Amino acid sequence: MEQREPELPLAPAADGAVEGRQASRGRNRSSLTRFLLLPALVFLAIFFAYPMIDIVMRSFAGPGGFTLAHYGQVIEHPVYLRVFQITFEIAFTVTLLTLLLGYPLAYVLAGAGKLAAGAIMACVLLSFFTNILVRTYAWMIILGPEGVINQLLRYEGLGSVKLLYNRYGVLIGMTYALLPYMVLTLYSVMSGIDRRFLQAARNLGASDWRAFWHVFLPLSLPGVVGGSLLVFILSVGYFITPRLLGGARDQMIAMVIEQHVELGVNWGFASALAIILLVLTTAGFMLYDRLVGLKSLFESKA
Amino acid sequence: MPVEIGYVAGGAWKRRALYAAAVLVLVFLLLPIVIIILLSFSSGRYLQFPPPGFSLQWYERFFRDPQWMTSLWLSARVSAMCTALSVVLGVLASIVLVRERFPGKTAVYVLILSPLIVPGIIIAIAVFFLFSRLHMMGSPVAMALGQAVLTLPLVVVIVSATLQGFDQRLEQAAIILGASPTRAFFHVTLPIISPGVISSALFAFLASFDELLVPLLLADPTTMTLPVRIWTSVTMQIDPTIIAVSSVLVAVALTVLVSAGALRRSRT
Amino acid sequence: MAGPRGEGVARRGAPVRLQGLKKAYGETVAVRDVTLSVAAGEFITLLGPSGSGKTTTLMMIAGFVPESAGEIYIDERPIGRVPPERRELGMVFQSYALFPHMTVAENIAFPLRMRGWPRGEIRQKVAAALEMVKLPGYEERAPRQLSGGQQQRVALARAIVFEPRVLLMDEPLGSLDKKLREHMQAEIKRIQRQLDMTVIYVTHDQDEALTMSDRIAVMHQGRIQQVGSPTALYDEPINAFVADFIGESNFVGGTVISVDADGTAEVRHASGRVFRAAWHGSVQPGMSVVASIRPERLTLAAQGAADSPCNLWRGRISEIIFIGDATKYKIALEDLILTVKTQDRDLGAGARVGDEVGVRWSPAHTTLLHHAPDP
Repeated sequence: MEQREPELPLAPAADGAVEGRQASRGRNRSSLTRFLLLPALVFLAIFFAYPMIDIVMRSFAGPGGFTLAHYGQVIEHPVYLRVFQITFEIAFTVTLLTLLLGYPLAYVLAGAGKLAAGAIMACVLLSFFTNILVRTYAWMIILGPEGVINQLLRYEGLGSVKLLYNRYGVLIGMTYALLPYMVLTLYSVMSGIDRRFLQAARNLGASDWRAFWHVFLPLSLPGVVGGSLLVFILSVGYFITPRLLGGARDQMIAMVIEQHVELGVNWGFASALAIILLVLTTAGFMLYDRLVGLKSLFESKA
Repeated sequence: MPVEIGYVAGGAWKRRALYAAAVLVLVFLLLPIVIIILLSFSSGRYLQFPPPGFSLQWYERFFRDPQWMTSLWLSARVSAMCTALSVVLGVLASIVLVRERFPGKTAVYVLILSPLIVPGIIIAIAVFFLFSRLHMMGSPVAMALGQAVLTLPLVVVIVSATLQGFDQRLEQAAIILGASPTRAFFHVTLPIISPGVISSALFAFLASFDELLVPLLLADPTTMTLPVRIWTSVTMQIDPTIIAVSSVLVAVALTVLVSAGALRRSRT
Repeated sequence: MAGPRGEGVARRGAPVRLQGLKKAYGETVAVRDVTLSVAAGEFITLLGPSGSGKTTTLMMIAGFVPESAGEIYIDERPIGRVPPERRELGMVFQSYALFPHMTVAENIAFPLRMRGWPRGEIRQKVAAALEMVKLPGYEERAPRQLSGGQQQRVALARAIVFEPRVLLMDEPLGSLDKKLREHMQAEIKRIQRQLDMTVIYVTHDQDEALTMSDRIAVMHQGRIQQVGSPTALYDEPINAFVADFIGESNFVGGTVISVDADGTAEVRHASGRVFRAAWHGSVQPGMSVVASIRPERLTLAAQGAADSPCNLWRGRISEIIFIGDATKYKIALEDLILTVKTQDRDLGAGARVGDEVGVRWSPAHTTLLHHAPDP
């Protein structure tokens, strides 16, 4: 596993007809290079692909061989349909909230000078890269019955509010956790919008509001669609934040899956739920790929 | 005439409202982190706000507690193994993915990158099923392997981007001057792409160090990584020591970000 | 393979031979059937526009592009199975490809280190190579601290420090300005003579090719169109592509009327005008041919004076272009425009656009091109 390939230079002045990435000494060296991919493929086959197939198998496995009973259970019990309903409700609300908060911030970020933009970006990235468990724990400290907010309210003699272990907690925590994804996606689109379009619109007689509405907003729409889709998909599979901040009535799919695995009662049912979640997520990302292109997603991660 | 900043156009009050909104959102983004750091230095006996005074009591508790220390050490070991594995596999794979053309390349890309898309809980139970079959529950090696599924795509994304920007003529020059392809890689290519490789290692380490779900399902009571112990502690009873642990984790994230930023600057 | 390390050991460049070299990428053929013999110590240039296959040919010699067919011989040994790192070729790349993470000295020492030379000797050799390219004392600089011309010198030093018998150069002067380029051309020639290397040089710049080369191979559409000395290519281009690519030319088509024993042929242009041209090889009456006449071989004839061996046509001046060291006149004849270039400024002193003038040229300077379908 040592051979590596030089590549033909494709500088503009080089011969235009020359094309391709060819091996130095014919196919021998080239095929040797490809072996470098092998360790990663073997690793993923054992520790990712096989276990994923295993989940599929388990979801169809019953005491007497093949069965659809696990999937049937999801439909039969209103409890589980309710879980899906809650999951989508939360995901939808969180998407809306992140968009509402993220759009103005991304707009200012995209138009800010170098220094201000750097500072805003640093804040967004710090939040993005801080442990999600830590960030959620912080909200427990802030929102709890003895938390920061209630201590302050009591200090002012204003009584107390219940913000933890219910839907409010889940929405605040998840909006907080997913906001950086929205801001970064919006920013990547907005930073590519030529500001002269807006000046042109103003010059052509549009008011500032109309210039925004007719020019900037439509141009930023790919970011809105991409960011919303991304946040929605991630919300649907969320676990840590709703588990810590939510109450009994805020059970989401991932939490149910984890419970069934943790308690060891019904791995087949957990697998079926996992497959449904996987199908939903995959469908979401395929839509994302259609509308925005998955490539942009991976590039922004780098 | 007020100076227009960027394309935030319009009347003064509109602009002010917009900036106010942006500042509020920023405060929202930073508030929890600031509160964690503030309270971690509190001298109060519970998490009073505002903190009554300054003290390092929670850090002392954290660093004196053998259980927390065991978890910290385990997390470091697991993350180091995971980072090493994913960087080696990821760099090798990136070389092929960036430079070679072969049938099924898209499929390989999809396979390698899909752990970024599959919900964390699904990967966690997949890995859990596998290692329960292999009777490796509680094994740090199992945790590292499972987390590497998540960090490998991060490494591939970052290193591929770096390799894409690498001028292949440099490697050709090394070869025509007498270096074998292997030596050319180690003498020329690797030193030049090393900032990208190092920053991929940093992010892989951070992701692995922060990962909860995979080790949560694999852990037994003697092998709890830091996030797993935080989780247990948070779900059982709230131990204020967590606040010190949390600040330490914020510091880790900050360190990774600052070093990655410095690397990026050194490249240009 | 490293060769004698001692100073002053006479060692000539190696001959290089390309035999039926071909390169296809799927449907597209980049190089078709290139055969070329390069003598030991010769400076040969592959000249052609982009897409002509010259760089691909060079990359096949270097070993970075596997040939689809054909064989390459260096010193009469086939090297098809030799990997690039063992071909013992020096190479200067288009953008120099200096290793950015190494100092100048480390860059130049690289090929010696790869060959396992002892440290002391490496230091000496590096210093000598820097001396050779006139950059002594630059050892510890980083490549990015150097100017383009200096980088070019370091790249050259690195390519020659291990005394390769063949040096490949891929558009090495492409990114330098004109003055510096001319200076470096002379430097490269000096070093080549001093080390007596075989040089295979790729460029799209005909002036560069004409000044530097012993011979030039003009490439077009993956084929070598013509190989020859700069003067031969200029004076006797084999087809319209070569004539046009190497310098400017007037092309006049026509039909051969008669072929005379004195080595000239009489050709009639479509307009009915007749001219005489030197001919070689198989020219027969009735053939349609294209004649190439260099603008500087045409002169303006103020009045009639037709001395018999010369062609003389009459037309009107349609344009006068002053280009510094010379003046160009465009002479319109009914259905064709001839370009006349002269350095004699007095000659056309009184000439004005619209004047009727004679255009005169010698049959000896009129090359009949094979009427190839090539553009």
